[in-house]
Amino acid sequence: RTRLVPVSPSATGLFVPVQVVVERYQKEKNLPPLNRTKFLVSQDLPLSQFAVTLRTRLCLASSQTFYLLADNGALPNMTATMQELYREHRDEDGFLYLTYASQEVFG
Amino acid sequence: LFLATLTYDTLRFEYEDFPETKEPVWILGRKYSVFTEKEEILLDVTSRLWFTYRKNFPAIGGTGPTSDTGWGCMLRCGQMIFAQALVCRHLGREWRWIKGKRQVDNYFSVLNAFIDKKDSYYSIHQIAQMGVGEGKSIGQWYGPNTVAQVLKKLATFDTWSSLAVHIAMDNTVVMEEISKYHTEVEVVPVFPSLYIFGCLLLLPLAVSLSVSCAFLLLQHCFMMPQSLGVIGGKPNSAHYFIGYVGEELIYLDPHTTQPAVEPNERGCLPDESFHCQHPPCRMSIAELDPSIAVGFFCNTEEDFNDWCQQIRKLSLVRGALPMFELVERQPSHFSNPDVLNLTPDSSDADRLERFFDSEDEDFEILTL
Repeated sequence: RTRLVPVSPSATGLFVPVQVVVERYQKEKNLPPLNRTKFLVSQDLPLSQFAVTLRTRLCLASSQTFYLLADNGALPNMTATMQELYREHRDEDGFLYLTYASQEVFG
Repeated sequence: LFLATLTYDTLRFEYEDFPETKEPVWILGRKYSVFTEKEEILLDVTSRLWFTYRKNFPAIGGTGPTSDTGWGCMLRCGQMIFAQALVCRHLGREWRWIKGKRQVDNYFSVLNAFIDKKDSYYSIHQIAQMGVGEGKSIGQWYGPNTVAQVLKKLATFDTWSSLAVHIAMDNTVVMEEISKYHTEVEVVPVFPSLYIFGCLLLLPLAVSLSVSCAFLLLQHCFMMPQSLGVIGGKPNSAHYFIGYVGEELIYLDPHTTQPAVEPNERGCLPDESFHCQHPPCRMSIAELDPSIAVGFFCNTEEDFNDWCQQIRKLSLVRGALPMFELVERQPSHFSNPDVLNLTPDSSDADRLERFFDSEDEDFEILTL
């Protein structure tokens, strides 16, 4: 993937956002792509709320699976804040990369 | 899949027996030793209802397929985990199937709920047709969550079992939502014995086994007395996982086509083909596809409270990332649709736009 230009979040003043890039899992077949994939998100936003926003963008029913995976493939806690995720999983380029995926099907 | 059908008869006597190991064998919350309890292990496995591909059943929807070979494996796994919940509900975890022995009526009622005809509660016919509402045409492959969602809908018609089916989405179990089944039940005191709490909890997950501790946590799911096992599989083929030994998962495999069974002239159902009478299959945990659904059954509120306690203990395991999370109540933004959409804050947006100006104009700003 192409790395983005690193920026210093503190330079933005009062609102110190977490810089998040949301990517679709490469083998994903059910979920559509997102129109916008780069977000500046409040540090104290819980991941659950960020996920609800993305679910709404993708027009998903609540009964459909939608997982946000961190860089190492782990499923982070939905109660974690974006700042906590950023601290643990930030990439060296200064962004937090999350991958979204649904479930596989079986025959 | 075709190959599996062809080779079943030649393979059936070659299933590998359990390895001679000091490691305990765990089957749906029961611990066994291979050395001293091999027969008990096999009896426990054989007692589970085993649903496989079938052929020559009445056409689905009147004109549809008469066999589910090649597409029904996840539907069959869904039937197996649900059947286990019904067995726990109506027969108990300690109940055992003994070949040739006359079974109790409740056993046949459970089995009848899954027989391949259109009016059984959880038949392949019902699942395939209810799946249309979930965007799955008849004959399409399912994932663990889809089959769970469909079976949950079908369970509302099963007044005999009065099961509360709860599917915890977003890898989060909200305790309040499960306790509510109990309170709802209390206001219907007509037949109190019928309305005791019986909750089937299903957690559709995406488990990355590359993450350390994931296997350990999965193992713990099989160790809990409330365990209903796991539906999932290897890529493309679904299995019903009922336990583990060492680094291997123990499962029932639906990939065998058997002829559909009908009640005989005396109204009795020949039931031998619904029990796996060879040693169960095993596979390395490393082969597991990340898409799974973990199941638990809590017959009473005490069962559920005990389950919660075990999960909390598990989350204290050092360095372990929980596969799912237990929370007391739903965060407000789930229940209140007005705040579902985060709106960009205009002043912050302005400031940030200036800052990011030429670099990346396509950032979207989300604040609380």
